[in-house]
Amino acid sequence: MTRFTRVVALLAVLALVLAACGGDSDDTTTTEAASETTEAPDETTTTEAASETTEAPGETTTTEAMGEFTAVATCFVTDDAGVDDRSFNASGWKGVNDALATGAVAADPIVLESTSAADYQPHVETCLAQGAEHIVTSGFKLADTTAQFAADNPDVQWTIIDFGSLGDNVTGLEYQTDEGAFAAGYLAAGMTQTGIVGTYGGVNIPTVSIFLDGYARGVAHYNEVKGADVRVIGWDVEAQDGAFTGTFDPADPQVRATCESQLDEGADIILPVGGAINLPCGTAIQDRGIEGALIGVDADAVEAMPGEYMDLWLTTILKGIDIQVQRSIEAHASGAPTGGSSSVGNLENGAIGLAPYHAWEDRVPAELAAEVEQILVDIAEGTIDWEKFVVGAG
Amino acid sequence: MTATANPNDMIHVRATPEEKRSTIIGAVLIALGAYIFWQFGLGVEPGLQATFNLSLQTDTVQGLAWVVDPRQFSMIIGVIVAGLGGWRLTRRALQYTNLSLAISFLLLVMAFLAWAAAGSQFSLVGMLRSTVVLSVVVVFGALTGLMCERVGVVNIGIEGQLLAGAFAAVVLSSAFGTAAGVLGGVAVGALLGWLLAWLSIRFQVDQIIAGVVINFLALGLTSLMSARILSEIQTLNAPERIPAIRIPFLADIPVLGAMFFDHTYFVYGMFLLVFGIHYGLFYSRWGLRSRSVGEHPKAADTAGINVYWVRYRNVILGGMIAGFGGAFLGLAQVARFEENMTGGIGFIGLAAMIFGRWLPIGALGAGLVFGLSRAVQQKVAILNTGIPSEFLFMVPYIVTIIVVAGVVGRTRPPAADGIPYIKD
Repeated sequence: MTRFTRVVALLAVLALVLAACGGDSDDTTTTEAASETTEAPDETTTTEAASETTEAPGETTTTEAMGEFTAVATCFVTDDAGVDDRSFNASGWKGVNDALATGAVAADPIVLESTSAADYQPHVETCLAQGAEHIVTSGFKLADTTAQFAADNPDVQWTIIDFGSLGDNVTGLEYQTDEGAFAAGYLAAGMTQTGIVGTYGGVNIPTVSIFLDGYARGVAHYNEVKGADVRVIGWDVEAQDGAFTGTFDPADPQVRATCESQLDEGADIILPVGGAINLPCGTAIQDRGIEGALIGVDADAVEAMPGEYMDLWLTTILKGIDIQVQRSIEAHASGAPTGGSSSVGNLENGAIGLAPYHAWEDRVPAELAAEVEQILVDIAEGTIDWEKFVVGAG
Repeated sequence: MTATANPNDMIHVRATPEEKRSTIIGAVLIALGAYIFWQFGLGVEPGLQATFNLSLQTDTVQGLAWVVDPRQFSMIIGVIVAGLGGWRLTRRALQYTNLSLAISFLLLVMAFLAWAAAGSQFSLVGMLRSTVVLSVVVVFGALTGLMCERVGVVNIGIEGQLLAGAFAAVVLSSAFGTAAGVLGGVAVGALLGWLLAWLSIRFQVDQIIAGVVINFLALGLTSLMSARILSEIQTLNAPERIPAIRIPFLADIPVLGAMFFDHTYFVYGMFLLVFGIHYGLFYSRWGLRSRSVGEHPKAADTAGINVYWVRYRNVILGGMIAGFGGAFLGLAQVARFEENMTGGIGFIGLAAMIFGRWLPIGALGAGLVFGLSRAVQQKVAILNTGIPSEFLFMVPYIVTIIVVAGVVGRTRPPAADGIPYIKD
């Protein structure tokens, strides 16, 4: 039996090693972005009023003149979706790199990819061991870990994405994404040919549901203003519940089926919220050959998503995680860390917005486009009466 | 039976397990019927209508719909279900117990949907089509398990075989085209099938451990290559999607056309495999030999059957089915690979095999029940019924647990299942 034991042991070891490697393969990847100097002149781009356009806020860097930065060693810990999630982790990491470009981040920032909740704590410990001065934890799932380690390491500055401040040295980044979703809902209601628009999320958690809620309210606003009767499926404002896939894995058959279920009801414009779970929906729309559209979230989908769905993206509800992360690190680097406070990104401060219509530019009537722009302005100025989603519930 | 003098009549005759089961199920069905009557029937406001749409946008015949009064509809269903329960209580025609259960389950779903859709509408045909699509991977998984267990080899590695099949299909399809992708998926499935057979036949490794090793191996290898290779060379993770093939005429039939005749060839393949394996197992020499090896390998050996060869062959064939199922997942659904994209569906396939009683047609039925519970969940989510979405996620698993926990009656695996055969 020795031969048998050897074969099985070998296979078992191989399997475990591979399982471990597969998960953490991108550990401690350092960026190649060239920034040898620790001090770089800050590029001051003028801030365009976000309310003014449907332009991507991400393109307008809002670095205020803060003088020279003292670069801080930065470490970025993702949640279990990994850094290639084409969503908030990717966007947060982009923010770190943008701050690297302006000289606020010391050369070779570290990114640690988590594959499960068990990785959070060791990754944060690794960051501390590497001498990080600023640690960015990506996502509310890291809240407990962040709170614990931030309290034990008061000299380190922390930034947590999608969560409120967790201590004097933690900057919370929160987003009033329903402001953008509201405008997107209005747009969808104006564009639908079937009179039915749909939306679904990964799981009913506040950072996801806020999109669905704003979207449904935007459609309701359209109905009220225009006397129309556009139906939203997938979100019940009263019950604060709706259609969810139960997973953020785009390859799960359930995701595509959720989208198809809405197409079956006649929905032609759909807002899927959660990582890449909008991709199977694009596939389904293409397979059916119907004239439908998708609304993206977080980063402009036309730039972030694979090429074959280009003409399906009506717009994207932009959530400028990169901008807020960059601002937080830059504040630290300029000697005035924002720890202890929460920063809510919204239309007014440019962290939320609607992306350009790209392929749909010609199909969106000028009148509707103007109305949507007006709504963005009105929301930023607070002149529309609607019930916003409460952020910061945690 | 008039003579009371016969002493045999005085002896208390104990009920057989089947009779007991019939009684229990009868009582449950009567309670269920009453519940349907009150909750889904009387619980609906009078005057509301529920509309089940029977046409998809892609259908030839448009605008078909079935309008019911949910109150009346559910009350009738409640009476029928209770009636079936009463029939079970009589303990007559025991062979119809499972049929009564299945009919009652479907009627329950219909009454529930009528209740949920009261005053509203939804696409019933879309739901039924979803049911078929969502059951495909589960059925492939169940068939894989069945091929192996029918010859006495337990296959816990279905999940890994599906995953590796999906990976190979996506990468090879991206590089060399669709045909290479599908064949590659099948070949990798076969390879992992051979590995399981080799470990469990040649080395008599505990088959559960061998299966777990295969799962970890597939998960680790594919995740590693996905992170190292696919994230670098993204053209290797962009296969051409396999389109649906509309079967002329049949696809134009309302409802049935959308459900069965407008799919990719994987779905047609699934139905062919189910009926083919059923025929093969019970009406061919191959099937007789396979079953004899799974039930009593020593007797089979004595009769001149090469037990090892039969086991190798079937386990490898099973792996190929899983590889084909993986190719469906990777090429027909989304056309890309994601780490751990099977997400446990192979294990659900294993459960489907058990509650399908190691029968191919049972596996199909079990897969459809799973698919149906997921498809219903999606419709309920958009009907604003107030049922929490978190609860809806649990429904397919609750159904699986209830069914596996013995609702289908006693199931009996092949006698030599999981036992290595050692030739004297």
